[in-house]
Amino acid sequence: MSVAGDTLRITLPRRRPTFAAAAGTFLVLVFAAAAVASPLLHHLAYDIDLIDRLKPPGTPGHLLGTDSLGRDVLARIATGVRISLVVSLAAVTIAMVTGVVVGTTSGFFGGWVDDVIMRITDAVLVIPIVLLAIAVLTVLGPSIVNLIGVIAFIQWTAYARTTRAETLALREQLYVTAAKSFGARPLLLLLRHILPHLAPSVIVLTTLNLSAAIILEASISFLGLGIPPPNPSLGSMLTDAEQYLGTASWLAVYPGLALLLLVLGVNLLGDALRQRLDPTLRSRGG
Amino acid sequence: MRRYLVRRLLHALVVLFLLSIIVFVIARLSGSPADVMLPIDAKPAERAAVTHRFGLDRPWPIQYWKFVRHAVHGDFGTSTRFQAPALRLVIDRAPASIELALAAVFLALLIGIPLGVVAALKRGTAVDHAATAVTAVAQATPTFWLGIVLILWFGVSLHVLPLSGKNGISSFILPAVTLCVVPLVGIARLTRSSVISVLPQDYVRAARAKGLHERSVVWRYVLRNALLPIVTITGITLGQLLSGAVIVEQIFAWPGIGRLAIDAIQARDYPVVQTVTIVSASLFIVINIVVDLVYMRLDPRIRQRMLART
Repeated sequence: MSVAGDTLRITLPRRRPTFAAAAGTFLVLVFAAAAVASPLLHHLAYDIDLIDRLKPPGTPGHLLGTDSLGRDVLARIATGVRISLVVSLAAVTIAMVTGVVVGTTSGFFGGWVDDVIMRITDAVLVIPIVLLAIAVLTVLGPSIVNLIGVIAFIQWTAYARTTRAETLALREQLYVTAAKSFGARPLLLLLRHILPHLAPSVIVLTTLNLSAAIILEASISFLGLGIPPPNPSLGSMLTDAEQYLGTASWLAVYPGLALLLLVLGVNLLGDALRQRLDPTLRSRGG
Repeated sequence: MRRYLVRRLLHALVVLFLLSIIVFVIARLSGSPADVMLPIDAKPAERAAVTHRFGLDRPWPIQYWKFVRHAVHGDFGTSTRFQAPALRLVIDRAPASIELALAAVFLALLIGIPLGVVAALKRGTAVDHAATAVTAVAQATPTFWLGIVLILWFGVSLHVLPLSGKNGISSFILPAVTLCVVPLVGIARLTRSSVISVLPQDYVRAARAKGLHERSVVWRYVLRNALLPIVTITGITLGQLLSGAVIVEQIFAWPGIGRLAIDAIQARDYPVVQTVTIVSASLFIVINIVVDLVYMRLDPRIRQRMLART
């Protein structure tokens, strides 16, 4: 995943940020600023104006043009980014908390509970992700809350498996045995002696899951089961654009480009973070 | 060896059993096919008749038992929409998905391996950085957007390639290119890091010391060892693409199991939804086992480790 920065770290002094890291930070900051500012553009993103419909990019007042209902494409992208970030951050947080709690408990106590939990994660892992999302959202109906729930349901297994594996290894460490011999209770052992050591892997996994969640939100919205209209989503803007491919191609190009840059930014920033934190990369001495 | 296989197969059965419960429950929660098949003002009696015909008025555990009992005999129920055996429908559509997945994986290997090898051999140079940048952008590219942009360029503007459907070799190009991007990134990166880890090995140094050509060192000693992990990722990718091509099939109107599944979910056609999920999950599990066996054959060290675990 992060071979990207390996070479850079050898050629550059250790603490100087790489070009990739700087670019990632820049992209993420730009999109975060757009997301924060987007409520100011609310009327541009939502108000229908049929006189100004399908105006090409560069039209005065509409830098990236307007859509089939005369709404400003740039304002809708900014709002879409905001919704996308809210959904993915919420989903990843829920997945993280659930996965870490389940994974550490499973690894720490072991036994049949561990077996059952691991087989459940196996079963969730073999279901095609998009199919699962479509099936559940067809049941529950498209809404922001349901979307967050589905993404969290898909992603918790990765946290559970990773933290379980690490807990299994940490449990056998001398300092844990020592703490146990001093009479530390299981809960204290978990919280004080195991949980802190999981932080690097959990952070690394979170950067990966965050960009996966952003793409997943867009994909599901593209299929019409994600963010309900009239709210913009980078995915559903593309669905609308499909009808106008021959006449208004900007509708398809810009939201996708924004999505690409957002994910690229998160990935680059994540790679940089991983260089510092990932124990397996560090030991490889890259 | 046999013990290992038996254990893997038992494990797979347990996973499939849990999966069937999850799928069964999700499908039942999504409402009745009567909602979709009958007009909105249908009388309760008509509704009850449809529900009864499909056996959906019985308690869930009984429905599930019936489903499992028939499934074991290869009967996955009758599609409520097409009035045809669900397994038949899935098997009819499967070749299109498999062909597309194979085409995409082939493309990904064709581009990804050379890209990774070159980047590794030229490590730290501009070539390496360029390859890294290409994979970073490719990784961030949303599949469905790429599909639409390709349609826009090659179909709408240039009129050179078919936009949708499956009709001859040329209709494979756009969907396969779209689908190959995700595996390509993984394969290129893994190849690069794998080659880098093989280069400083003693046997490579020995081959160089013998005075072999750099080219034969790379081909005979580096690549043969570096490509081992690629076997695993190729297998896993193939498994994912077989079932995960839902969006690409949707965009290009590809007649595979992904689109069948979307249509079935929307029509509340439970037997088909269940069959698609279980068939694709089984394929995924089988491919994983095959990959591990191939891997064990190729590398005796791994064989030792895997057998030791059982």
